[in-house]
Amino acid sequence: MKRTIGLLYRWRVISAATVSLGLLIGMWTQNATANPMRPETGLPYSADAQALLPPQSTNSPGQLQGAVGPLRLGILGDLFATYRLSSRQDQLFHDFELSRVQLSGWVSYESLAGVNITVDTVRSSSNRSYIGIDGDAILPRLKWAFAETTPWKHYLSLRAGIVPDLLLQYAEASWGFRAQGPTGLERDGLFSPGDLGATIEAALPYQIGSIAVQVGNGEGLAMREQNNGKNVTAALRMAVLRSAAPDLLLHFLFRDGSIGAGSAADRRASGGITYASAKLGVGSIATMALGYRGIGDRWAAHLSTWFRGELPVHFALLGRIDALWPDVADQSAVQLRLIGGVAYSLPALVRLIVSYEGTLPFGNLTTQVPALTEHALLIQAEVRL
Amino acid sequence: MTFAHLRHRFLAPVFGLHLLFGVAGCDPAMDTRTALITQTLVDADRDLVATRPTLVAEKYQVMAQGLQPYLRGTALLFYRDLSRYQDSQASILHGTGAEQVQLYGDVHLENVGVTFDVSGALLDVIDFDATARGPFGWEVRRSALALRVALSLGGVTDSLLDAVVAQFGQSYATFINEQNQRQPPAVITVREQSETAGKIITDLLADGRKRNEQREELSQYTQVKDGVRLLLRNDDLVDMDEPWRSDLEQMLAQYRTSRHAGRGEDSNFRILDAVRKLHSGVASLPNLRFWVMVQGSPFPDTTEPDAGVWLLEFKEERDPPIPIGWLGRGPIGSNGERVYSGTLALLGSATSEADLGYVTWGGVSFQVRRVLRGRRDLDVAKLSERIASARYGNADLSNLATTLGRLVASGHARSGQASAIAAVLTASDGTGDAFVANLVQAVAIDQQRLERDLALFQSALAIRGPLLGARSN
Repeated sequence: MKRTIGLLYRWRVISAATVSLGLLIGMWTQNATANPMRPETGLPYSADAQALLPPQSTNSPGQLQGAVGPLRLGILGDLFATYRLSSRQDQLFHDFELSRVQLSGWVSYESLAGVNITVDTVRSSSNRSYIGIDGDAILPRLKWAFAETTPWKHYLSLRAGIVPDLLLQYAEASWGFRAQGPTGLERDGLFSPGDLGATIEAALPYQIGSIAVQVGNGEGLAMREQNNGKNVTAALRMAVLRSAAPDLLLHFLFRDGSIGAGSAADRRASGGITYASAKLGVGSIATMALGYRGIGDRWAAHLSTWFRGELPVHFALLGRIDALWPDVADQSAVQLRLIGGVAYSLPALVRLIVSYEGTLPFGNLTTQVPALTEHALLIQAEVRL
Repeated sequence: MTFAHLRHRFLAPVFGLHLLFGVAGCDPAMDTRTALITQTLVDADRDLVATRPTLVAEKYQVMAQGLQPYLRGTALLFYRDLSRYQDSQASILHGTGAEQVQLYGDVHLENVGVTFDVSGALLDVIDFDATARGPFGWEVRRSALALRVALSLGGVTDSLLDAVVAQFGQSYATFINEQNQRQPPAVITVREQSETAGKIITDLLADGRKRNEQREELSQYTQVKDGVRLLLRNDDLVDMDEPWRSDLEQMLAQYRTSRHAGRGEDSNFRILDAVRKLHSGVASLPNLRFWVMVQGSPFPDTTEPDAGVWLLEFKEERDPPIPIGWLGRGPIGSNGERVYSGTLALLGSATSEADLGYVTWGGVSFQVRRVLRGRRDLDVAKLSERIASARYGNADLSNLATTLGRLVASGHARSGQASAIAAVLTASDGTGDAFVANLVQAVAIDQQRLERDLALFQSALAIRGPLLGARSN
């Protein structure tokens, strides 16, 4: 009897799911607009917001695009060449580094579905490894590779594959100086740029934002899945000024996750605000980590605050403060990272950036090794397609 | 089960997400420390789990057998516990000029033993697999812990263990302070005749010398069959797999370009036989080890028996347990090269390990050195028996601590700045007494943690299986 009831229940669930899927496909209209060129979100701007956005200049990145029949294709790319002089661990060291080459190719089909494949570069040995490929050669790797569909106008987006993180890309877009280095959220081990999994995102009514849920392996880009647990992340984004400023967003995120073969807790709760426009970017994101660097019962906290602003004559200023409390039980133990610099944009393609970056320990962190204190001067050229 | 920790549960209703969360999979059966141990070990062995799972399983089995093998297999966890972002127990003395000292890497008692130079047997570290540059404080703490653990297995009381650790710290600090004003720093060579060596070391040196004189490596690992000397074949020594066997000539030729005593004559490197050595070591148990019997003496004397037949070991070198990525410049060269240059920087005698070299072949990095049965280590099981039977008394343990402290300090003084290390040691009180007191306290806590960890590890192994639940595909 129990078995029959169970089978009936399953049948009802399957039927409901099939009908729902049918309805979704039914709602698939020519107004849907897949947006695979934007890693932050699969959701395009609403029609109202789109109308208010400033037109893109021909110098903006992402202009290499065209159409082949029903397909739209595009390429986005950037290259960061860095000279770095740093004082750390008793060493004054300077080197040239190709800190990133990233190339995204995207295709969308009649604005219904799209694909994004993004390749960036990494050093082939890990940070604990002496042997990489051909010594320690710079190699390309898949950063994102996802299929995307927007089955219902600008209200719903589905992504699957190596999908971008739900928060990190907003922080990067607002910070605008990825060339200087990864955001504090990434550098301090709180979020990874991508993960194998799937994302569903739905726009909230009245253009007040969206809600997204992501399910992924939780091991980021560098590792295969190590355990049976899957990371589940929910993010709420609220556009407080609605379509008048669609890129002024409040973010709330919670991730329930685990990491490694031991399934150590790896949870995050974040909240913050970001604003991104061509001339100005400002934001602040606070994060609590419940499980940090493989220590499942560790509570860590992080606050990253940044600004960038365009000045006259193609100059720009940038500044960022990342504060990390690796153990909130010891509030005096803080790692502070200070970044400040100036950028100059050449007429096309290239931006030059000079910045200082200092990492300073306080409290118990001063007695821990390897020593945290570092002072670095970076001179960089950023090339963007 | 998710939200395993009650204090995390409040977040589910806050986010209205009860129904979504149930798949994250934080293992409620595993406490967070076990999860960290498992992750740290499996992470380091990930490639070996896929390629040599039975050897990794054997390594974990050996580690579970007791505190000493567990200590040997968990240097990685030790350094992780003592790295930045950990708890207050991770506080380590460090400072300007003392951040980049050449470290031996893992000075547990079974990595200390007898080696040989042109003057005969001497005491030194005999395994440099983990050598790297880093803060001296790591090594002092690790060495002191290893000493305490080894002696505790002989039933030594806690108060005596603390006294021995204090003696080790005092010896280290005293030697560093003595070298503070000396340029270049003195080289410590402890030989059988050294008055300060102590009974434990003297016995060890005598044992090593005798075995070396008898060339035990030939009697133990080879046999003469039909007038031809060949390496034995048994559970420990098995035929070499292809393509290694076919490539051996080329590997040998490449090794000779880096050989410490020079390339040598071709006639001294004629391969007679070769095997793969299994079941050696603890941390490095799954690593490849090839033993090669060659014809010809590398030394000018021709009085050796068996007309100069000798054994070479090609030992796979993997990444060190120290978190090098945080130490500055990152990888430099191969692991074989790291071990080679680190060994030469730290050796107590410029003429020991004449056959040391390295080679990278087929993507695998090897250290190459001579196989010597005389290269005895301080066998902890034997030492424990002798302590328990009162063959070694308190004074002998104290002498051992003094000798080890000076040995480690001597290496650090040569490869770092003794004045900078001395400044760090005496920074808080001007004498170094605070350093010694803190060391004693910290190491006692380290040992308690190690004992708890061993119990957790044994339990994890029983519950999660021989590979600790690591995926093997």
